[in-house]
Amino acid sequence: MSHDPTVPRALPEDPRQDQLKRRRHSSIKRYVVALVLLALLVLAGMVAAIALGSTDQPLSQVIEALGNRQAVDAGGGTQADRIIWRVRLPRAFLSVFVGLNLAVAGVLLQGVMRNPLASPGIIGVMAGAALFATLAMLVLPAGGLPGAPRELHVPVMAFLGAMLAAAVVFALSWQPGSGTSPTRMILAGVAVTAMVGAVQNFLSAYFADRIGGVLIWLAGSLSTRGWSELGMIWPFSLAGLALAMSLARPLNLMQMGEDSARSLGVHVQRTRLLAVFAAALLTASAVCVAGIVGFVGLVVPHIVRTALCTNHRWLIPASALAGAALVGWADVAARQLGEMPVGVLTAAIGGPYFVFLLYKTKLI
Amino acid sequence: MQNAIEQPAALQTEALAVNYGKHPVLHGIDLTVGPGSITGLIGPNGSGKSTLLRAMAGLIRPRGGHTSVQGQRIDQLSHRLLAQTLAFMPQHPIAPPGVTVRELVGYGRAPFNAWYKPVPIGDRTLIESLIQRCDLQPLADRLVHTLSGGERQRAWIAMALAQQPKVLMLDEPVSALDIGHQLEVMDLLTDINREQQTTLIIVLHDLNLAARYCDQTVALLDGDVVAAGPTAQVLNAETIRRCFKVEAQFHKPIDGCSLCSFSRLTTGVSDRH
Repeated sequence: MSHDPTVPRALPEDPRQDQLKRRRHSSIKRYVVALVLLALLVLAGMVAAIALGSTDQPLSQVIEALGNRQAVDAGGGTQADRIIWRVRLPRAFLSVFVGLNLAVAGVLLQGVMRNPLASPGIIGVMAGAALFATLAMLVLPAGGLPGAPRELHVPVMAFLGAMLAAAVVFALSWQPGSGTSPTRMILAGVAVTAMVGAVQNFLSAYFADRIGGVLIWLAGSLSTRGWSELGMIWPFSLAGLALAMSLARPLNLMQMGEDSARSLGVHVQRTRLLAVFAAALLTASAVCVAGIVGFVGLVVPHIVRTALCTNHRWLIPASALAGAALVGWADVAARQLGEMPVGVLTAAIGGPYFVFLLYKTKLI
Repeated sequence: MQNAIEQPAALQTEALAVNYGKHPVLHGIDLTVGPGSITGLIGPNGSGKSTLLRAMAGLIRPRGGHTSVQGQRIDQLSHRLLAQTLAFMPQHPIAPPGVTVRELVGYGRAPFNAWYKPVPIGDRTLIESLIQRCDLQPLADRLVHTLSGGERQRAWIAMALAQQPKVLMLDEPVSALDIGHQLEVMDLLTDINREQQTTLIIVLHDLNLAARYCDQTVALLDGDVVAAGPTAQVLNAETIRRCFKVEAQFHKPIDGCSLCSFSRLTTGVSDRH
């Protein structure tokens, strides 16, 4: 675009220019400090997750075990070595990625729906994952899925169920000519969740004698998960986070409503599709390794928004770290409380905090 | 506006037709808007003014016909390129939470810059000059949702101007303001039109404002153009009677523009059912 000569491009030496730069830098500095602090909180949680567990290992043994990877890989090593390498390390990473995924999915959905109550559950992914995981545990024959080892049946099925549910919700909300709208998507999500829930309840009743394991999975737990589950989540975490960051600006502009965003050059339908796709991917990969971990996706974005800023460029990475810290520490606590499902703890922490937020700020 | 205009049109519609569902709202509108002009869209509620404006801005897909900006069909432009030539201000702009006036004005540069690049220094000075131009200096660090009505309109106008648009469309920019702020905003728009030759298309409810500020006026009724042309020719008693079902009395001109007052028609004339 050629510049219109009647608008002065460069202001004459303006003393406020300096002040302006300083102010900009001070708020950026605040965001960077917040990100660093959150990252430290995540790291501390991982250290705690490696040092503390349901069995007591002296710290010296834990540090020694960290150096004994070869021995464990070769099938040897002490019991402590095996606990650290096979149980605690993968789990420390897993909890962090689960929290990251759910929090970023929550930011994306709240941003794209312009609805403070949007959460990863709203596009049906949670229900879809739960149903397919239940099917895998109760109905799938012993031969199972071709090509997948037996222990991965549940996560693979949960992932497929989650993505399928999200696709159905998106398709149902689509209107030829005008595309989707947040309201239609939320209503389609409610409808799909209800229908899937009906099948879920039928299965629970029909297989009442074997439903115990399913219920524990549904409550969200990271126990008995290892490196193979970690491989199912981290690529999606990185891809989802990258996609989310690339949507930061359109999401900012979409907070002014569809017309304003479009007249600023935002491709609204494409942004919606990509945001919902990224959220589905993030949620599906989190749910398939950890089950239903509640409240992270709903509450973490709100905490960061009130405490830090509403600009998605900072909101997305800060929420990713805050979610990682929350689930990381919740899992540490869960193990200290006798392998309580981590979903119970995140909801137990997140629920009251959410009530407090509702009370303190006028969210709606 | 069939009279020959020498320069190429800033904006032109050809047989622009819009439906809401199966219900036709606009039946084939042909309009030509000259560059650097101020055009007022008037008409009663439900006549299709806002719909026409949104269709011309590319915000709704027409059932038939098309809109061109500077000879370029807008449905063939990418969202970004369109946003570099045309800005649109909705009737009820939504204040995004936690955004300052300066950040809001900066949003107007979004169509020009890739998101992963830092904001060019030229953009920052442009943003500051627009903040000054629209008298927003004392408000620049305020959150937009804390502004009053008139302040908010000026902030949004500054954001639209940051797009450096050739055509700026505004949907009832002053309808919610008191008379003092109405004139303030309209004067600002007129000044910008003169300084930068930005073509303005404004939906107006107040016929006196149309008479005072608009070079040309388009009167709509039930999705059709009733009259279009120079404002003085369009705003006559007959058009007003036909559009609004009121009788207009014209008074002596005040600083060059005539002022009218209205009374409802009481007898017999109704060409609508």
